[in-house]
Amino acid sequence: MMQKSNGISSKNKWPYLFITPYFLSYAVLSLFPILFTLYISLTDWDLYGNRNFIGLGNYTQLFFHDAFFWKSLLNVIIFMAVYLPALVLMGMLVASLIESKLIRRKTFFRLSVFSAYMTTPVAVGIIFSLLFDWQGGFFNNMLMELGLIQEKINWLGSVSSSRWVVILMVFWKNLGYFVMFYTAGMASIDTSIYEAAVIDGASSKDVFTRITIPLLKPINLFLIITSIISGLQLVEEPMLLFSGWSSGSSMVGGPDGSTFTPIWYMFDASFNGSAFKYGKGAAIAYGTFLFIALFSVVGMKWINRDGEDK
Amino acid sequence: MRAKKFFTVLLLSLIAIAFLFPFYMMIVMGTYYSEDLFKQLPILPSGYLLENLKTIMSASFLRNYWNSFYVAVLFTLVTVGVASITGFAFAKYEFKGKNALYGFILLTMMIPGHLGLIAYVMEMKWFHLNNTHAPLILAGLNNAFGVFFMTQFIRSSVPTEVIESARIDGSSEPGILTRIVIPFLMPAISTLGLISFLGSWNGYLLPLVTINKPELYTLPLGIANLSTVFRTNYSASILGLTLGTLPLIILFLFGSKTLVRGLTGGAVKG
Repeated sequence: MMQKSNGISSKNKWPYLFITPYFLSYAVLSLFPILFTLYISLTDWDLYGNRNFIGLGNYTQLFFHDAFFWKSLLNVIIFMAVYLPALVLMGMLVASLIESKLIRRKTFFRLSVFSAYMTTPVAVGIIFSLLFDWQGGFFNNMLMELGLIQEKINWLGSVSSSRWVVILMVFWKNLGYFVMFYTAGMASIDTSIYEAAVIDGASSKDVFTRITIPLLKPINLFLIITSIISGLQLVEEPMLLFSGWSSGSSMVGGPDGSTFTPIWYMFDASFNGSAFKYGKGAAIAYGTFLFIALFSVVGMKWINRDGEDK
Repeated sequence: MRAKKFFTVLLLSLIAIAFLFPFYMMIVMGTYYSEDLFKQLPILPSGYLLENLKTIMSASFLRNYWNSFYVAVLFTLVTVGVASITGFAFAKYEFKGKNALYGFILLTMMIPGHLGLIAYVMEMKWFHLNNTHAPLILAGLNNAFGVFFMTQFIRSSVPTEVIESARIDGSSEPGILTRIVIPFLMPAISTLGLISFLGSWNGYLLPLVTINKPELYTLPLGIANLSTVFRTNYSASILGLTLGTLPLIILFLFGSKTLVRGLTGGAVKG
C-alpha cells in the first residue's frame, strides 16, 4: 500500500519537473521580451535615455503619418501576391513530374531543387546581388554575349526590376520546400484511387485536377498560412541583396524603398540608424504582427470557403 | 510513352540546372583572379583558387567557422534536450493542466519570431550577455516546434507498455526517460537536430544585433562582412561565400533524407 501511493505521488511530480525548463525559459526568454516589447512600443524609448510613456503615439504615427511603414507592407504583399501562386503551381507541377512513374532518379531532382532552401539567406542575397550586378554581373554579361541587349541593364537600380529580382530570389529559395511537401503529400495518397480513376478512363490532366489537387488541400493550407507568416517577415535576403556586396555602397530598402520590408524597417529603426528608436521599432514589430494575424485569419477563411464551394 | 518520358526528364533536368546554376557560378567565380572576372564570361574554372584561399585565410574566416560550429552544436543540444523531456511529459503522463499547457505551446507557434527581438536584446544587455554567444544559444531553450514535434513522435512510436513494465521493475522516472525513451527517439532527435543546427547556422539577424566584435562573428556575419574586408578583391570574397555555403551542402547530402522526412512528417498527417 505504501509502495503504491509512493509510486503515484512520484508519477505526479515528474511531469511537472520535466516541463519546467521549457516553461521557465519561455517565460524569461520569450514571453517577457514579447510583453516588454509591447510596453516599449508605448514609449519614446531611445538610446539617449528617453523613456516616456506616450500611449499609442508610435502607432498613430506609424499608421497615419508614416509612408515607409505602408510601403514596406505593400512591398511584401506585392512579393507574396506574385511568388505564392507561382510556388503553389510550380511546386505541384514539379512534384508531380518527379513523382511520376517516368522518372527514375527522383533523389537527384529532389535534392537539386531543395538545395536552395538549405542555403543561408545571407548567401542567397549575396549570390543574387552578384548575378544581377550592373557592371560585372553574370546575367548582364550573358545577355550581352548572346546579343539580346545592347547596353547593360541596372537590374538592382530601378523599382520594378529590383522587385522582380527579390521575387525570383524568394521563389528560387522556396520552391524546393514546396516540392518536398507536395512530394510527401502525393506519396501518402492511396494509389488505388489513381488506379480506379484510370480504369474509369480519366486522363492524366483529370487525375491531376480532380484527384491530386483536392487531396493536397491540407498541405496547401499549411504551406500558404506558414508562407504568409514568414513572407511578412522577409528580411535577410533583400537586406543582403542591397548590402553593397557588388556595388560597394549599401542601400536601405533598395531603390526608392521598393524592396523595403517591415522587419527590415524594424531593424533599421531600432538598431541601425543614428537614433536607435526602440519605441518606434517595437511599434513596427507589433504593427506587423497585427497584419500577420489578420492575413492568417483571412487566408484560412479563404481556403476553407474555397473548399466548401466544390 | 517514350517521347513523354524524354520530355519529362528534359524538363526536370532544365529545372535542376536552373536551380543549381547560381551555386555553380559562385564556385567558379571563386577560382578567378579578381581582375579577370570581368574580362569574359566566367563559365569554366580558372587556376587562381589557392591564391584566393590564402587571402581568405588571412582574415578571421576560420574563427567565424568555429564560432558558428560550436554555437550551432550547443544550440542543437539545448533545443533537442529540452524538447525531448517536455515532449515526453506531454506524450506519456496525465497531469493537471496538461491540455491547456500544450495548447498554449501550439498557440505560441503562431507568434512571429521577431516580435520580442528588441526587448530580448535589451534583456541580454541587462544580463551583460551581449557580445557573447549566449544569446544565440539560450534562444534554443524554448522551441515550440521542437516540443510539438517530439510530443507527436513519442506519442506514436514509444509504446506505453515498455514504460509501464520498466516502472514495475522499479526504474525511476528519469531512468525511464534516459534508458528507455531516448533510445526510441533517435530518428526524431536526428531530424530535430538537423533542423536546429541549420537554423542556428543560418541565423543572421540575431547575431547581427547582439554581437559587434568581429572575432565573435558567426559565419553569416563573417560572410556579409567579407566584402568590406576585401573591398577590391572580388573573387576572394566570393570564395569565402562558397566556403561558407559548403558545409551546408555537405550536411545536406548526408542528412537530407532525415531532414526531409522530419520537415514533412508532422504537417502532412494533419
